[in-house]
Amino acid sequence: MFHKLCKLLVIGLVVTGCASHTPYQDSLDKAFAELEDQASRTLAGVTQGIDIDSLTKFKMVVFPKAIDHHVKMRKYQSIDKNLLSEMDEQERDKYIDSKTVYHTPLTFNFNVLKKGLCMNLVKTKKYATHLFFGGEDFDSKIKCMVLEVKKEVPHFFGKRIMDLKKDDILRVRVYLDEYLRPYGHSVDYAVKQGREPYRTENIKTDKRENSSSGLSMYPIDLPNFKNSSVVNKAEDSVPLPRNLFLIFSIKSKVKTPICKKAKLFEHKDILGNIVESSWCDKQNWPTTIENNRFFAVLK
Amino acid sequence: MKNITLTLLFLFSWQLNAEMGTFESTNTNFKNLFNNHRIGGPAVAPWVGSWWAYKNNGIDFGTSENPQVTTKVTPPSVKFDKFHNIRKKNTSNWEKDNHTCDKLDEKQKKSCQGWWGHCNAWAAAAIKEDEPRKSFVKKGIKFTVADQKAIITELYMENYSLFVGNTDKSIETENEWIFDKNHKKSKKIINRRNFTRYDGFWDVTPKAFFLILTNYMGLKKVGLVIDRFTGDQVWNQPLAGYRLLPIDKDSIKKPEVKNGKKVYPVLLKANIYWAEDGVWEHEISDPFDYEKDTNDNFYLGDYEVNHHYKGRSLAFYLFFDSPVRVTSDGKLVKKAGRIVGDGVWFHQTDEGKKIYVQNKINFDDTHPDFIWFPTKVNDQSGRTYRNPEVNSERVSGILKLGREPTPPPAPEDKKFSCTYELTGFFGNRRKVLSSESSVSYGKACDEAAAKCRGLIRGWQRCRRSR
Repeated sequence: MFHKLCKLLVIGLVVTGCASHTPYQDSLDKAFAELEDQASRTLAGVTQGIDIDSLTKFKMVVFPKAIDHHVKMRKYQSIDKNLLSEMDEQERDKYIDSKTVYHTPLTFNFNVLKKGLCMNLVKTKKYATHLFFGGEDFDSKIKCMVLEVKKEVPHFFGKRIMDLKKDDILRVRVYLDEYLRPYGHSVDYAVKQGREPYRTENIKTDKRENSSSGLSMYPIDLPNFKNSSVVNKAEDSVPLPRNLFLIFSIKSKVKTPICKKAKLFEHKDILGNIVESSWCDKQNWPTTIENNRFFAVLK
Repeated sequence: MKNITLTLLFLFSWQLNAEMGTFESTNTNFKNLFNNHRIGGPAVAPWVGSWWAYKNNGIDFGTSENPQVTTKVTPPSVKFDKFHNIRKKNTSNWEKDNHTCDKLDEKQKKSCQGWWGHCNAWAAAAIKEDEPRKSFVKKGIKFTVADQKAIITELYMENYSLFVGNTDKSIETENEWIFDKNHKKSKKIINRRNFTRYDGFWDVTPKAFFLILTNYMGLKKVGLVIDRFTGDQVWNQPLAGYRLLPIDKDSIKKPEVKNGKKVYPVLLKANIYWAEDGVWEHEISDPFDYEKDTNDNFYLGDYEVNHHYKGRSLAFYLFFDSPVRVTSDGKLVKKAGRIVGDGVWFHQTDEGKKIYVQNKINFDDTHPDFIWFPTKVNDQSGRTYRNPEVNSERVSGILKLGREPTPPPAPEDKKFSCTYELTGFFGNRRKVLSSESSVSYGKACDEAAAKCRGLIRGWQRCRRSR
C-alpha cells in the first residue's frame, strides 16, 4: 500500500512538473485573476472618494506623446529597442523618458455642469442625467456629477482659431460619482469642416470599469476607487517625465513645485493600457495622469 | 386586495424602469456591442493608392495616365516644385536623397526595396481626405489623380496619431520564439514594466481588438489603420470594415472552473477588410460596401473581396464571467456576461497553431501588430521624415483638403436590435415565459413586438427588455 502511494506521488510530481502553461492556460489564468479581484472588492486606498462639492472649474495641460511604430526607417524612431534589454528597470525608464518626444501641449477646460445627490440627479433631465444615472441602485448619500471637458481653442487677436474637421471631438461630458465610477460619457462630434454644427453620441459605460479616454487626448483616464484592480502605490513625489523640454514647459504653465508628496495610483484602461495618476494631498482631481498617449498635469 | 395592490405597484415600477431609457451604445457591454455593431465600418471607405515606394524614390516617380505607356513622365514632386516655384532645395531632390533605397547599406537596401515606402502616410490620407478622382489644370500645370494622391500622401508622412499595441520590428518572426515566452529571444524587454518581445508580438489582445472595432468603426464610424504584418515589417492598411461572424453553438465552450469560480470561453470569428496600396498610381477606387460586399464566411489566408479591397479572417477566444447564449442563427446574443481577461488568439493556442501550420498560413499574416487612429497632419514636427517642402499651406494651394460632410443617416436607416419578453403571473410574482428578439430598420422592434403580442393570453404582458 505504502509503495503504491509512493508510486502515485512520484507520478503526480512528474506530471505536475512536466505540465507547462499553454498560452490558452495563461490567458485563462488572467481571466480568473480578474474575477478574484472583482470578488475581493478591496478599495484602492481612498475610501472617501473625492469631494464633488468643492469641484467647479479647472484646467489640465496635456502633452501628447509622439509614437512612431508606423515609421519604417529606424533612424526616425525615437527609441532604440535593441538597447533596452541591456538596461535595468530604472535605466530603461530613464532612457524611454528621455527619448519620448512630445507634441505641442494642449489645454483642456473642465467645468462641473451639474452635481448633487445621485438619487436626485436620476430624476432630472437636464444634461440627460436621468439617462446616464437611471436604473442604478444608489446609496442615499452618494453624490454624482456631470463634468464637461473642452479643448481650449487658441486665439489670434481676440478671434478663436478653429481648425475643425469632420469627426473632431468638440466636447465630452463625463458622468461620474464621487468614487469616480463612470456611468457614461456624451461626446459632441463636429459634422462639418470649420463649423460648429455637431452630432452627439451617448455611450453608457460599465461603472465597474475605470473611466477611459479611449483613443483621444481628453485627460479623463481616472482610477475607479471602487475597482479593486486599481493599484495604490506608496506615496512619493509627483512623477514628472525626465524630458527637459517637458519640464521646462510644465514650469512655465503650472505652479511649481507641485507638491512634495502625492498618492500614486495605477490601473488599466478598457484597452489594456496602463494609466498612472498622482494625487496631491487635499486635491479632488488627479495632479497628473500619464498613459501611452499623453502626460497631463493639473494647471 | 393585497395582491392587486402589489400587482399595481409591480406594474408601475416595471413601467418606470422601461421609461428610464436604454442606450444603443455601450462601450464594453459585449451583448450590446455584438448585437448593434456586428458589422461595421467607417462612414466613407478609405481609398486605394500607391505606397510610393522608396525603391522608386517616393513621389519623385511619374507614370502616364495611359497604362500602356511605360516611359516615365513628369513626377508629382517636380510639378509641386513648379507650382510653388521651389528651385534649389526642392521636393524632387529631397525625395531622391531621402525617400530612396540608393543611399542605404546593403542589408537595409534589401529590406527597403522590398517594402519601404509611404504606406503609413497613404493609409492616414485615405481615411482623412476625399479621394482625388479627376485631373485638373492649375497655373498651366496638369495635376493627374496620381499627382494629387502623391502630394496628399506626402503631406501625411507626419501626422498626429493615437496607438494601441506595442511592437518590436528588430527581429523576424520564427515559430521557435513566438510560441515560447521563455525563449531567450522572447524574453527581450521592449518597453517599460518588463514588457517583452513575446508580449509585443501577441498584442493587440483579442479584447482590445473587439472593443476597438466595435466602438470606433462600428459605433463611431471612424477610420482606423492596422499594421497587417504581425512580424518585423510594417504594412499599414486603412480598414474598410469588419464583420463579427455568427456564433455557432460549438463555439460556446464548457466553462472552466478554478477555486470555485467559473469562466465561460467563447470562440469568436471576425473578418476585417482593408484598402490595397499595391495599385497603379492613377487608380480610382472601386466602390466598397462593408455590408453588401462581404459575407459571414471564414477563410484561412488573406483573400480578395474585389480588385481593391482585401479581407482576412481571425479567430479568438474571449472569456466571460457568466454564460453566453445566442439565437439559433448565432447573429444575436441573448445573454452574455462581462468580458474578463484579455482573451487569446486562436492561432496562439495549440489547436489553432496546428491548423495554421497544416494550412501553411504565415504567422506574419495574422492579427494586427498595432492599430492606430490618424487625427490630423502635423506641420510642427521637428524631424525630416516628411519632405520639408510639403506642408498643409502649400498643398492647400493646389487642392482642397478634408472630407465633405456625409449626411447623418435618415431615421429609417437606423438599425434597432431589441428583445421583447412575454411575462405572466405565477402567484404574486411576474415571471418571464419567453422572449422574442429582432433586428429591424426604421420603427424599433416591430417584428419582435408583434410576435410577442401574438402569444399573449389572459393577464400576460409583453415588455421590452432592451
